[in-house]
Amino acid sequence: MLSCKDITENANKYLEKDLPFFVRLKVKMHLKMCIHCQRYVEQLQTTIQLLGKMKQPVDTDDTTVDDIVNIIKTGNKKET
Amino acid sequence: MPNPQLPDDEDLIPKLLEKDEAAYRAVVKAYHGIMVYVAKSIVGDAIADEVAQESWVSVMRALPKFERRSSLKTWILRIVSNTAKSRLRHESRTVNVDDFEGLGEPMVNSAKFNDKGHWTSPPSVWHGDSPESLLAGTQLQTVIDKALNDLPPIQRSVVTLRDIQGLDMDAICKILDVSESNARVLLHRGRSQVRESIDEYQKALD
Repeated sequence: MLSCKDITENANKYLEKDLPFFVRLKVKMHLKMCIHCQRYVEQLQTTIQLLGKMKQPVDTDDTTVDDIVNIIKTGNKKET
Repeated sequence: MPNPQLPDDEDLIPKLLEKDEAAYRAVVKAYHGIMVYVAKSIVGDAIADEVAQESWVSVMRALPKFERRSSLKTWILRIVSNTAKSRLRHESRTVNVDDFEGLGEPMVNSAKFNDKGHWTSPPSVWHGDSPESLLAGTQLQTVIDKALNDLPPIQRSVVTLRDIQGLDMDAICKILDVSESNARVLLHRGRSQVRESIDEYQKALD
């Protein structure tokens, strides 16, 4: 029998479909019967989706590109 | 996502080795942003630019010896990660490797379970089920940013590279020099911790 604590420890693998077949089945059965763990797994999924909406790295402007290329050419760090 | 203006590694690397300026510009334009991003995830905002600049010098110095066992991008990001980690070790008072990576602490917050493994403090009901409805008109973005900042550095890197940047686990393992099993543990812990912070925020909204 899987406890709720076991479920939370396997939640990531469950979402990534990375569990052996019978373990996955046991997790599914637990989730059918346990609203708390159901919420936990849904929230973990939502968390991953929210993270996907966070800021991406910005484009490098041409001035910075110039500076970096100079650094590469001289092999020296820029004095700030 | 491949950069439309950047030549393939096969064409690009020889030009870089010839010190072709157009090639330098193209590779910097393509990769500097994500290099700063990786550096930030490990050492924080203050010295990320410096770490990225230092890394460019190391990249060009090491390029003649690059064996092409990974893509150029992955190899460059690996150099950034190594440079960042060295800086972190040098500047941090905590030399404990477990703290640094976030592998030392227990898997999930055990205070939330009794000794039979049942919830003592179950998840709350969130005010919305789609990311958009949760983010709209709330401080949630700030809560998530803070949660990420509070993670141990390598844990933070794994989560940001996987869930924000969308890199695959293989590339992440090569960049951060962690095993796949450790990377999965770190990813799960990081995500769980972020979920926890969101949950606390949702509770406070009641």
